[in-house]
Formats: sequence, structure tokens, C-alpha cells
Amino acid sequence: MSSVWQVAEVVGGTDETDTARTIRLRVEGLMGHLAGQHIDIRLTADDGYTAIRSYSVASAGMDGHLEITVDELPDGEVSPYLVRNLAVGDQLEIRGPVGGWFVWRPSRVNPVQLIGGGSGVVPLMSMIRAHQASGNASPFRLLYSLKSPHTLLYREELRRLERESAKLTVDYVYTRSTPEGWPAKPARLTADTLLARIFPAEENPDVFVCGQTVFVEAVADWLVMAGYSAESIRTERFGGTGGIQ
Amino acid sequence: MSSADNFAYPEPEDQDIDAGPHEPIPSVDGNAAAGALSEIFRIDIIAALGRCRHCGAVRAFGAAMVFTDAPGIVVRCRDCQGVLLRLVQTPTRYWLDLSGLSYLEIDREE
Repeated sequence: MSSVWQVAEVVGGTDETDTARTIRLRVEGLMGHLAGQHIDIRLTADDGYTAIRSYSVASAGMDGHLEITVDELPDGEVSPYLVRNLAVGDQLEIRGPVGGWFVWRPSRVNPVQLIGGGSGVVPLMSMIRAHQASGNASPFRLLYSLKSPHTLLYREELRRLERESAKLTVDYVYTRSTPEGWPAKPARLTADTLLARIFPAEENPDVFVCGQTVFVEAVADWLVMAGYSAESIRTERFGGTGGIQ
Repeated sequence: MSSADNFAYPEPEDQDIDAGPHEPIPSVDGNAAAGALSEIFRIDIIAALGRCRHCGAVRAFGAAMVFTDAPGIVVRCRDCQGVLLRLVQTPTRYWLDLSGLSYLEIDREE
């Protein structure tokens, strides 16, 4: 039987936060991928029990390699293993990268508004990296909603890009605790907070929203109510055990 | 998370976003079916437009609702919740029901 599953080898890893880790995989024959795609990982226990989970690709444009960033779910079946136990040289069964809808292509000319909740920033980071590596001059704006500074992914890279890149703007919204000296108190994300920090609808941005289901649904509703066309909004919900994580 | 858990603990997202009531059964986006469908279709159909046989809505497959907490994958129309696609895998077979889609329009360039 033909199969789309293949073996990938772990070739590196970096801790992003106390609970999240970026894992670099070597994937035979991989010729790039679209920014925003995901892979499925299948783990098989000795007794034959299998668990499949989806993880967004974080990297962009690396032939033969890709990176995922996994945030550990405390009661997860798969993520604690990937974050805590996986070592260089280990092998994983993967399928993909797949998915041609929640993707950004360098041929797009519209401004791009990225809206990420928590680890929902992962596929958006792939888009930022693809955009930075391309000649595409469209402005990108990222709104990153997160609980606390301790959960911030890609801290150094985002800080550097904010300093050095004229085509990326990053806004952070902290919901439970802020960095020291932050000008605002931590607060739940509201429609007003969101709409004040994104490209206005009149600029026709392509909008990508990724995060927990409740985050994505609230944000998408606010955007449509504020006049953003439904066709311009693409969403990626985390949720269900088979969902993207 | 079971409904019993919802009574036992405040839902953590509520501290983070000013959101209304949640969908009772969690769904994800069409993208979540991409891996499973890649086993069957040579072309990525997540970016394809599909017409719902139930309500006539034409939308990107990626915009549909996907329910994965089931023995198979169920894809529903985001407009009318009608079933567009069902996919069940056994160790030896795929069972694919596409009867809720009256057509797919696939971009040959992508």
C-alpha cells in the first residue's frame, strides 16, 4: 500500500519557554513548503496504539528541514513527549507539510495582518520568516495576544525584526501579566483593543487568525462586524485532539 | 474537556478574551483534514472551492468546520452545518462519503 507517511529525524531543538520547544526535523526530499502549512505526527506505542497530532510548521524555506514549535499541554498525550523526551537522533513518523488554504504566498500584494493567540503565533511566524526572506514589500503587522512575558515565543527574533525590518510591525497584548514597565495593565483582549492595533479594513489586508477556538471565533466575529470582508479572513483553530496544535 | 470539567473549573480562555458563549462541540478548520485527505487525493483540496449540496454555499474547503473527536473525520458547512464529507479509516480501507458536496473547483496553478 502506498503511504504518505515518512520518517523524519530530529536534528536539533531549542527551548522557547518553560513549556514550549522548537524541534528541527530532517525530512528526506522536502523541497520547501508554503508558509502556514502543518505536519501531522504519528506516534505508535509498543502495543500498536497510535496517536496523530498536527503541528504548524514554524520555519520557512528550508529544503530538507523544517521546524515545529510544540507547546506542552499538561494532560496531553503527545506534546509532553515531544517537549520533554524527544532527543536528537530520534525518528518520528510525519505526514505533510499539508494544507493549501491557511497559507501566505509571496506573490500576494495585499498588506498582511497576522493575529495570534498564544502558540497560535507559530504558523504566523512561518509567514513572517517567508516574507522576510522574500522580495515581497507588502507591510506585515502581527498582533500577538499572550498571557504573560514568560509565554512569549520567538522573543529575540521578533525583537530583532522589530528593530531591523521596515516591513514588519509587532503589537503585543498581555492578558494576565505584563513585562516590567509595560504601559498598559494586563487585560482580556477586547474588540476595541484589537481594532486599534491592526490594519484598517479600508487597506484590504489579508488577515490570518490562529489560536484557541474561542480566540479565533471571537476575533473573526469582531473583524466581520468591523467591516472586514469574510473572504479576507483565514482562520486556524486549535482544539479537538486531532486539531492543529 | 467534558462538560463536567466545565462546571468544575472556570474556562481559562475567559481571562484572556472578551468572548461570548462557546460552541458546545469543538470544531477546527478545514485545514485539519488536510493530512488525512492527502492520503487519498493527489491534489490538495483544502484550497479548493466546494459547493454545499444542502444550502448551496460556495466556500473554500479550508473554511469548513471539521470535527475530529469521532471515529472518523466529519466536515460540515460553516453556513448550514450540513455534512459535506465523512472519512473513516480502518487498518485496510478508507470509507469516503462526499455526497454533501455537489462540486469542487480546484485551482490548477496552486
